[in-house]
Amino acid sequence: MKVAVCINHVPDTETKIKVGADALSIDRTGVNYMMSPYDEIALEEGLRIREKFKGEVVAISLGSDQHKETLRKALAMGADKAVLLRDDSIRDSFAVAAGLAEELKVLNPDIVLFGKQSIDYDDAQVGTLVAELLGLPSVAVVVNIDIQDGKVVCEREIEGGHEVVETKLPAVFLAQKGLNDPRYPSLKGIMAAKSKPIEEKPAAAVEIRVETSQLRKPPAKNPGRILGSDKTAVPELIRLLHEEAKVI
Amino acid sequence: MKILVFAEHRDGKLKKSSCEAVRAARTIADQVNGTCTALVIGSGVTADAAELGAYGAERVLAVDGPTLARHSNTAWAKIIADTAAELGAAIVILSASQMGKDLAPRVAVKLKAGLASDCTALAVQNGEVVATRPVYAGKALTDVIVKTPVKVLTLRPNVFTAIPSGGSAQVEKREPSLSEKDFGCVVTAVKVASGRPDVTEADIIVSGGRGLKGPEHFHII
Repeated sequence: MKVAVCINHVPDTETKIKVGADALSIDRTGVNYMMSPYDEIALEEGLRIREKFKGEVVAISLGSDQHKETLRKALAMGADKAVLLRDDSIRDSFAVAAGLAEELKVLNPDIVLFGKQSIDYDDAQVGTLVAELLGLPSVAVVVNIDIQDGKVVCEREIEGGHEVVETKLPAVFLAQKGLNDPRYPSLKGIMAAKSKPIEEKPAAAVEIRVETSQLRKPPAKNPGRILGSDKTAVPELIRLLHEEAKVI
Repeated sequence: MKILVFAEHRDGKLKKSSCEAVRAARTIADQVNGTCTALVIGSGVTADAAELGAYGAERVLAVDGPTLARHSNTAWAKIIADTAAELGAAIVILSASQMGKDLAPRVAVKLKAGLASDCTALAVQNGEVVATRPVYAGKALTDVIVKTPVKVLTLRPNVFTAIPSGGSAQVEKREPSLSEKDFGCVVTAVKVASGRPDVTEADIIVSGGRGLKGPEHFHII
């Protein structure tokens, strides 16, 4: 079984987002980066599929040189190979998907795994775009993947419940929290990853389709008001809830 | 300018987020002198689709047939893209529900369109639709413009309001034209947790955390 896992290198979830000088992207100073958490779940699933069915896991990332840090972690977790599709420009989801699809056409894997969304642009598009570009079926927001003889039975999350989806390989899956608990890289894995090469090649040039005209902070929330610290403030609070906020 | 809105239903009942999407499309259509067509897909969905007229669709299409009793993202995407191409739609709108998020990228690829997902506001500036969407888990907002001739947008549920516009529409029923190969994925069962409203359609969400110490104290809030 050949498994490809597409992973993204994103600002840490703790990051305080500041708008950069270009007003189009974030200010990157002092920002720590990490493997996008849903991609980590996708990678873990790939490793488990390999452990069960044999084969190999290839981790692929499209972006700048810095993405190597995340690819190195993928190798440390147990990926067999890593490929960096190099591009320093800011791409939209379509341009990322098209670049990944070109590489996946050559790799021809049985299974392609993504996180359900990367936690920077929260677009939740790339995995399904790749599936459509490759003419493959896809199951998004997947919490269970059961590979059986000749078919795959999955469970995906929908509003207020789950869907059971059946498909056939080759197919694309977009991992949701709950699919598994990703492993920590072992010391042995970290040491082994240092000697595994990261294959580098330029990402296929693709024109973007969605242009960002502005990145801005959301409007600040109105500050709260303290009316008092004992029960004498209650009538005033009730009056305001009735007349100003109009919620009761 | 023609706008096509895909309206979703569960067991024949239209989803609130789809009514919101139709209403938002109507608002855009009014600003660009355009038209709004709604599309419903499924088995036995024609009768209930008429309601979309009240939210501003002047035309409602129902692709209805027994082969569509079970949902398939590949088949649904093909119907939406084929319908958009036939109408010559310049904008295709879906709700950013789990179904909409699953379909929109496929529809966009088929129509060679850019996709702005999970939009929380739409505006028309100089004849162009500017979409606002949250990024970095809502820590920032971006204003984006889709540059392709056909544009696909998904709208975050419960942000746009589904106020009836006072219109009405006749439903045009159509037979699906699909082959076995269009069903790459098929939903074989839906397990819905009963008794609780869908969180994306809830008016009020009550949340509690560690301060309560345990689920048995939830009655306090």
